[in-house]
Amino acid sequence: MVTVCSYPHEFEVVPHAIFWRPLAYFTMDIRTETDDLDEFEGASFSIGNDISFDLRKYAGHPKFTVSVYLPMEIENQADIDRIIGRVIEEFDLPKTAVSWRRGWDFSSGKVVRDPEDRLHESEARTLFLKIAALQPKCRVTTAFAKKEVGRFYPLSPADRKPSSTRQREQLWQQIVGNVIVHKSLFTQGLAEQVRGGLKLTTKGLNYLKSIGFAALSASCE
Amino acid sequence: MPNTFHRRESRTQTPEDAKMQVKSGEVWGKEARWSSVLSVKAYTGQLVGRGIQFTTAIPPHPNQSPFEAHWYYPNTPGTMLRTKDGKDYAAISAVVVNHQA
Repeated sequence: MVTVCSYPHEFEVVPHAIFWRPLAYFTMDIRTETDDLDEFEGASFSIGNDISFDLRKYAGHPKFTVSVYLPMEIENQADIDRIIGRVIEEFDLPKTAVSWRRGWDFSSGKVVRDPEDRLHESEARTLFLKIAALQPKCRVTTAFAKKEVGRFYPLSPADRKPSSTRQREQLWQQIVGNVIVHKSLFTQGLAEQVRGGLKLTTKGLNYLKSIGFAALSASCE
Repeated sequence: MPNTFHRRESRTQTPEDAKMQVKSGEVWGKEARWSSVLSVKAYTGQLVGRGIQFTTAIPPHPNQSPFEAHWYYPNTPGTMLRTKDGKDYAAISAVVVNHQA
């Protein structure tokens, strides 16, 4: 379980990974700060009692990326690998969303998005829940969810390919539409079907809390 | 060919700072809010927009990322200690071009 913290961690930090997802994808609990590098948007998280980390997007970082910052004391490559692996796992992040992590080669000033990175239905299901959590009564229509997806997920060229089964739709629109059609969120009890969309259940909200998206105090009331 | 770094104009990189950096041939940095580690921090690569761009013969600390470079005092060789108005700063020698004038 990854928990979003209300207060910033009080330690010097070092970036050890970059994800090709915006900060809004990971949490509702975003703060704006300035430090000696620049202005940034950030959030602090914990996994259990032993892992603390920040996600930050500095003003000079590319749009739709977020960097993972660990305490400076963590220098051992095996420890860094283990922690970054755990962060990816706890956020339920697709491997294709990882643009760089400590130990990988890189060119200064740029990272490249994995060309295979595109929205799959499992990630779209979670996105749907996240979008619902931000709406009154945690209720959202499919049409609204489709409008909002671009705020939380950077659509890739692979996402924008035409749907093979739905005329006038792109692949990502088909994938998001399938979330309701395939009913997986309803059979898992994470959401209830309502006219034109879904409503988050307590179980669904608790799932979003368990991946750090919603604060522990969040509710649908 | 030395690597290129930059700092964007911000509350911690003002036009006055840029003038001082060009004049002194040094880029300074202080500790982060929750830290006692003095460091110079900069973005890697070319500047786009307002700020300073610089090159330096001092290699950054190996913990740099694709987007950021750090020089810690005293842990990064070549990083110097400077004191102004009773406050300590980390500093590196650099050839600085001012794009904040």
